[in-house]
Amino acid sequence: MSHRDTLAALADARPRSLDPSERPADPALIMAYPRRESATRVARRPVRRLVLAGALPAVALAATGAILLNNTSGPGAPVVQPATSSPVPVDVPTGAGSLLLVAAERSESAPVTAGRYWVVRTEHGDGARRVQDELWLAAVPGLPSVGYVRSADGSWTSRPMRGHTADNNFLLAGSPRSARELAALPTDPAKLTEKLLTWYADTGGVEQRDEFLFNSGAAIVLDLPVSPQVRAAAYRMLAAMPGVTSLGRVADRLGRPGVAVAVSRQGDFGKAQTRLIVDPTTGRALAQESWVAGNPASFTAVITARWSDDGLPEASALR
Amino acid sequence: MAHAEPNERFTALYHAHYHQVYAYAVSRAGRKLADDVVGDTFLVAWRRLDDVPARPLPWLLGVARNVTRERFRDDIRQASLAAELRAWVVETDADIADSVAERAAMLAALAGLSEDDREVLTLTAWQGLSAKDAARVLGCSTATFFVRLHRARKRLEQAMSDAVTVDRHRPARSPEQEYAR
Repeated sequence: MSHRDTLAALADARPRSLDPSERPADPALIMAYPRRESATRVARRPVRRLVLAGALPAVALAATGAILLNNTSGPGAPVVQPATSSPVPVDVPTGAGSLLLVAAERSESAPVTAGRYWVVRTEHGDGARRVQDELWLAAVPGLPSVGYVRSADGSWTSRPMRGHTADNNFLLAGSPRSARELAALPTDPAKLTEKLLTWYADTGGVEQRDEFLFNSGAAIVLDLPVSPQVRAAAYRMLAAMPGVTSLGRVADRLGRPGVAVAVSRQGDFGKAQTRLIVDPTTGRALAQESWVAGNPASFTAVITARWSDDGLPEASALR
Repeated sequence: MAHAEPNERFTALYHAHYHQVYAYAVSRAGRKLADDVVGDTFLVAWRRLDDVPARPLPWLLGVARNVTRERFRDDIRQASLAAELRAWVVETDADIADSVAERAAMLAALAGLSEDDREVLTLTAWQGLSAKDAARVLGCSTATFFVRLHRARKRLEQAMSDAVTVDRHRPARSPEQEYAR
């Protein structure tokens, strides 16, 4: 075969998978980020992931047959806040603060537990795509971690999470952290802020400071294995941040009622907002959502986050 | 063009080159991770919009190359890529029955090459880059790129002929031979 023929034959063999199966996501999602003349190195993963259509955490993604659940609709579904309307901001300075302080109090009284695995079931996505997954994250050295992904028919498939150990399973403040580090977080809100800011320095300041603190606080209350007292401290930290506003009563993308607090940033394209939705009666954080120019962009809704001493389940055993 | 509003410039850039960056990301990191690579690549492009040259593709692919290396743990990327390479052979299009075996053999041979060899070959044959542009993506001189391409091509041909030697008993058919019976 001549050299020219080889390359021509190779060109003929180009796989279809090189062509995206979906239309590209709206570039507005990218343009909502501030432009900076900063370093090009993507040295660390930002705390808030850039989620475009089809881009979901690598460990949780199945290439085909993954999706998912339909939008909540139909008879008997809970009342869902229409996606296109933005709740009127409650412009009371202490509104966000007092909501979060209530959540802090509720959290604080929960019993301290721990276990071999930290098990988190979330539904997340953007646009029309949704994925539900359950991650069994080792919190004790020597155990493997596994992700389970739910397909459209409701059945689960397991995906081993190679390289995931108790030393690096938990992403907080720009870096993977160990269960031990999280257990040692301060229970005083000012000290917690201080600790997070030392980690902020490590990230090279790609994110703005207030956003960083908000995202870190949100991660702590939503789905990280910390003691209830640390969770309460995170709520108190968020309550004291001047840039955090209350959006009043909302429902998350799963239709669960709660109250939202948010930080906003004026991107070049439109307002980019990160929301944390909390159930004030229990103090449980429900979801984190990204909104761009008044429209929902992406979300992560935590369904359960708990300790377990069980062994890893078979995928078929999940309900 | 340099005076257009950043939003318009970026949107045009994004729509013009999204597919190419995606294709490159799949060939380097597998389809599972490709969306993350594409997103981060265009985020860099947005942040450094003034640095993007008038012919943006080599620069974009160079960024994608760095992103792929830095964003994922190597074992995660390798696992995703290995799955992708296997899928290419399995999913080879069966429209044109005659050449499906050849194409599958080509993809299998490609999968057996080193990542660097694969990269120079696919930048040329699948991304359609000129040697000059491909050299820019890899950060080497055009002359070096020619040498690397030549060597990679020879190794691919070697891999193909090794496969044919093993498979010699498979009858070669062509439509002409069928009708000429």
